Order: sequence, then structure tokens, then C-alpha cells
Amino acid sequence: MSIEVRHITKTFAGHAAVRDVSLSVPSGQLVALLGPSGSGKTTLLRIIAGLEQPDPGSGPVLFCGKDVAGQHARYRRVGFVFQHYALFKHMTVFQNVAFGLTVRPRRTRPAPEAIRAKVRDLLALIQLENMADRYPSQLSGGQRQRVALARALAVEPRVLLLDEPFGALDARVRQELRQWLRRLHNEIHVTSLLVTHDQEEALEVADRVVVMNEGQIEQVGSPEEVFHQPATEFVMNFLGNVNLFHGRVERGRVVFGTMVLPVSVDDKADGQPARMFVRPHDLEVRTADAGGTGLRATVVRVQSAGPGVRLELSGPDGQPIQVDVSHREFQKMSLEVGDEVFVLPHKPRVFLGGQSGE
Amino acid sequence: MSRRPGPRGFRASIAAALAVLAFYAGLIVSLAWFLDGEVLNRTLFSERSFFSVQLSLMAATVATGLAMTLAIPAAYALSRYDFIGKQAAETVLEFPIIVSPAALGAIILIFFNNPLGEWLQENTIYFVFTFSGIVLAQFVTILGLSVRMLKAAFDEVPVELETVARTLGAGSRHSFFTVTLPLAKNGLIAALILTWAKALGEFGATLMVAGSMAMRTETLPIAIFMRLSNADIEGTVALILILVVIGLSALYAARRLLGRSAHA
Repeated sequence: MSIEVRHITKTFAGHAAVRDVSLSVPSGQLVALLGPSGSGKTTLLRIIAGLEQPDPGSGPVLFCGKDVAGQHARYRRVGFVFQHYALFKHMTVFQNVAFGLTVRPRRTRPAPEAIRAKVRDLLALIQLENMADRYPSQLSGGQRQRVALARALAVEPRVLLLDEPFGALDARVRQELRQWLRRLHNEIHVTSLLVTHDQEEALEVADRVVVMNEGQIEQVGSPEEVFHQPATEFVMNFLGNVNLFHGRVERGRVVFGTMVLPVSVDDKADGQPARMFVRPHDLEVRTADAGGTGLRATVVRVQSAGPGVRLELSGPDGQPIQVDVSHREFQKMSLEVGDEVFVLPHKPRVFLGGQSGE
Repeated sequence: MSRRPGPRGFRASIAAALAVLAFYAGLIVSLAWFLDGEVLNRTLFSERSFFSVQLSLMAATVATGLAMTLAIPAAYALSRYDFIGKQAAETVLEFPIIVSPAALGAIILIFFNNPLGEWLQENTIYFVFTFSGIVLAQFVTILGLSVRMLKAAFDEVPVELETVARTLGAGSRHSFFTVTLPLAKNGLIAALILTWAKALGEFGATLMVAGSMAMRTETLPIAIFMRLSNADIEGTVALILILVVIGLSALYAARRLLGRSAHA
């Protein structure tokens, strides 16, 4: 089922947590709302769930094209999963998962056998069949979050809303669980909205990523799009490591110290400051300056323990530059701390006064 | 979360705990000096003592029941919602905790002497010098305390759990009874026992409102006061023992109840 919100604004005590946000989530997709804390992503999620009311004057919240703004959270049929699991600790795993079914009014409540069968299926889905009689306190963090997910799925929600679902888990479990979530989503295809501040998580799990900052959407796109073609400086900065160079426009060219970019800019932009963002793996390091367009730098530190080699360089003004190269390249160049190198950017993203160009 | 004291602090705190125990135990044991088997027997099985015990238990139970009925929803509202006058309400509820019970009793007595109080007594229930008066005096003294304790119990239950219950389709009543109440159970039982014990031992307000009439409004604490004023120390000791036994049994029962539900 598709979700759409139009022109949603939410103010808390004078501070706008969400500002005029419009977003549509196609049916069956897993979409990540990615942003730093305070970017309004959780507020937007809670508005969709009906746990917060948007400010008067906001547009509608549409489920499958139908406005649900006036509908209580109880009747929206959304599955909501919290960061800290929010399991009922006085109930067993079975009772937790069955909760959404047993609270139904007698007319629509399934028979006890039907509830049992349904819970059994869900426990199989989350691979915790043998844990039905355990209490939450007897489970690990990852298991608790799976139970919380099964509990949300038991009511056959039209939408699954996950608020930092892996935030309380340690790194390893988090990785396992998000791969598991992706597989689960491939199986059940319920429209899902996942809030996270972890860019790696968003890029790995989601079909589409919505990057939010200060209550507004910066960019919506596939993980590849937001990573490789960031629309704004914020997105560039937030998604992965990035080097920032300050330069200016001179006679239609963008110049950063000794480095001149092969980018043609409008003559009228002459003298304007320019900012260039390049990811560490998009910087090329050469031991000799071939065309005189590279940026001179000195090797400060070499970190070779890992899948690649991270070079920390110091630019002309002492500015730190990070470069990722492969072990093979590194061995070919036989670099050592103190060596002088030249840096060439590939795929730089240059921003002039808010305009972006390549 | 909590700082662990060093070995010295550790030993000092244990010593303090033992000193407290020794202090109270010493007080109770010293009663033995005036313990007289024959008087004890006579007092324990006298009709008047029996009446006092019965009256005390009944009044304390009714007062606690009434207080809880009002305090549970009030405490829940104070714990969960923000509303105009919330701070004022909380302050007023602390009033009976800090004001002397004798003063509270006097306030009630004075109220029944104004025209509205007189009218109420004549047309509804008669409070002054009656069983209802005892219940009212105890109710007024324990209500603030029970709201405070219950609010603390509800504060312990994360709002998130009620939110989850709602998204799973539970109404507010259902989520209160199946989620909030069971999770606040330990705090609830503790509040119940403590307010009941406080009602049982209530003296000042009861004396003001209901007086000290033998076989009518003589609760256990009042009986103790009456015996002591008549210099009947052996009788007083006997009644004190009854009160102590009732109080300790209630506490023990509460411990058992709380202990059983500790794992959930």
C-alpha cells in the first residue's frame, strides 16, 4: 500500500521539527528516512503513524490515496517498531506477538486456535519458534527486536514503520539484523519506512533513500543516486567520507591552489568562491605531476590495515586530505611518510553559491 | 548507574543498617519489661480490644479502598498528561503529607460546623463521632500519599509501551488494564500496603473527627492512647503488640506478593 504526505509541517514549542515536507512511498517499497538527529525524520514517521498531529494548515496523510488525517493511530493499521523494542515484559514472547490479535473486539477476534497458528507462523518467520514461552528479559537484543517486528506484523499492517530499529544493538548484530530485514522484506513486501541516522544502514537496506536535514528533505533517490549524485552539499557531506577543498572561479575556470579543474563556468561567476567535494576513493595520487594540474601534498600517515589503504595527506595550506587507494596501487608507488605527491580529483562535485555543477 | 562504595563505605553502610535494626528491635524488646502474661491474656481476649482490632481493620480497609479508587485515575492523569492546574493539583496533594494529621482532623471537624458541613451531615452521612468519621479522617490523611506513590509507579511504565498497544489496536482502557496496570503492579502493591498501614496507625485526625468512645470509635491507636492515659502500661503493651503483629504480617504478605512477581 502506498503512503503519501503533502506539505506537512510540525512545530514543537516554536521550533519547526518538520517543515513543509511532501513525500510519497510507492507500494511494497522499503524506504529509508536518513538524517542526523533532530532532522525531523522520527517526527515525520510519528505523524504517518498517527502518534503526532501535523500543524493545522498541513496537507493530508494519504494511505493508498485515502486521507487518514482524522484517523486515530489505533485504526490506521500501522506496525510501529521502536528503537528500544518496547516489548511487554510481563508477557511471554507468544503473548507479545499475539497481543494485536487478542485485543480485538470479540466480533473480529480470530479463534484461539487461529491465533496460535498465526503466532506460530510468525515465530517461524523470525526464527524463534522455540522461544514462545520465554520472557523478553530472557532474550538477546537482536531476538527482542525480532519479536517486536513479529508483534507488529501480526496485525497484518498496511504499513510498517521502523524507528531506528537497530539503534540499540551492537555493530555485529545490527549488520546481521538489517540483512535479515532486507530478506524478510523481499518475502513479505509490506510497504516499509525505516528511520535511521546510519548512512550505511540506509544504503544497504533501502530501495529508496530520503535524506532529511533540519526538517526538510534534501534528496530522494536510489542508494546509488544519493551516494554518487548527491544533490546538495549536505547530502555529499552526510553520506560517506568526503574531502572539501576551497577555491574560486578565475576566468571561467575553477581553481584550487595549483589545481585547475577542467570545468567551464559562466564568465559572470568570476571571483566567486567555490567548494569542491571529492570522496577519498575518487582522488588519484601520483608521484610526479604530469600535466601541472594536480594539487601538491605531503604524506602524513599511512593506514594499511584494512581492505584498502588510507593515506592521510597534508595539502599546501596544511589542510588534511584523505585518499583511499588499493593495496596494489600503494605497493606500486612505494610511498612513505614525508613523500611529496600530487592529487587529482575524479568525479568532483563543485558548488558555487548554492549551484551545483560537475 | 549507581556508584559502588569502596570497602570502607560499604562496611560503614552495613553498620548503619544494623544500627537501625538494633534501634527498633531494642524498642520493641524493651516492651517485655512491662509484659505481664495475665494482663496480656486478659487484654488480648477482652471484648473491647477485639472491637478495636475489628474496627481498625475495617476502617483502614474501607479508607484504603476509597483512596485507591480515586488515586489510581488521578495518579495516572498526573503521570501521563499535561493540563492546566497540574502543578497546583500536585501541590494540594502534598498538603496532607506535610500537614499534621491533628490539624487535618481539626480542619474536617471545623468544616462540619459550617452551614454546608452541617447540611451535608444532616442530609447525607453523619461523620462526627461515627465509623464514617474514622474512615473520612483516614481517607483524608492517606489520599495524598497514595496519589504520590501511585504516580511514581505509573512513571516507571514507559509511555512507549502504551503507544505500541495503541498501534496494535488496543483502546486506552484495554491498554491500561493489560499493559500499564500489570507493569505498575509492584508499585501498586507497595502503595496499597503502605497507605493501608498508615490508615491503620492513624491517630490524630481520627481522634479529632471521631473522638475516643469505647466500643464505638476506639480504634487500636486510640485504645493505646486511652490505656496509657489511664497509666495501664501492661494493657498498652499488649495493644502495641497487636498493632505490631498486624503491621508486620501485612508487610510480610506484601514482600511475598512482590517477590513472586519479581521475575516478570
